[in-house]
Amino acid sequence: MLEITEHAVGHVTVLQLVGRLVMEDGDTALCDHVDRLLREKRAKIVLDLSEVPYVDSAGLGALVSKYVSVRRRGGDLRLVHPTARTTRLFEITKLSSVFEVFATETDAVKSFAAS
Amino acid sequence: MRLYRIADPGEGFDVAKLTHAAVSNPSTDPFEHTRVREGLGLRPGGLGLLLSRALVDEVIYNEKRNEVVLVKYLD
Repeated sequence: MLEITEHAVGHVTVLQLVGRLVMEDGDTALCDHVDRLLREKRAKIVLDLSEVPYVDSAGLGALVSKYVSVRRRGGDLRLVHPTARTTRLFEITKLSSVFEVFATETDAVKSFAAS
Repeated sequence: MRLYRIADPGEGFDVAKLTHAAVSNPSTDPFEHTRVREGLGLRPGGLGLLLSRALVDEVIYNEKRNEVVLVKYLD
């Protein structure tokens, strides 16, 4: 089961995901969590994917859906250290040109200050 | 070579009506299917066909499109 832990760094919310991001196990949890952040007007979000070993099409769909939702509210959703497998998924679906990906949480959080 | 044949008892689908799938997105908008899905009340998704086509070498449907053969060449 996907576990999501949250912490704030200034105005940026960092979500650490641990586990598989797949249909009916993770995809809904991620969507619900991001939706709650948006209701709280917290639209600067970093997703740490370093401990997500597997993403299926539903998990990818959840990432895309929440990216669109966050951007619509003037925020952004940026990614930290996806695995090689996940990175390949982004390349296959051409999403690698859409998502901003960082090697570390620090870099991802700092990028919000620069933008 | 690996061949996978998947069949279901459904009515099949019309390629022209797949606006809720990423395979139908224009090259200029990778998120159009997301907006269509939101409008139709569908869960997030729509990337399965796109991924399948990228991960195997051939995707062959029957005429009704309720059966598909996925072909992956191993050499």
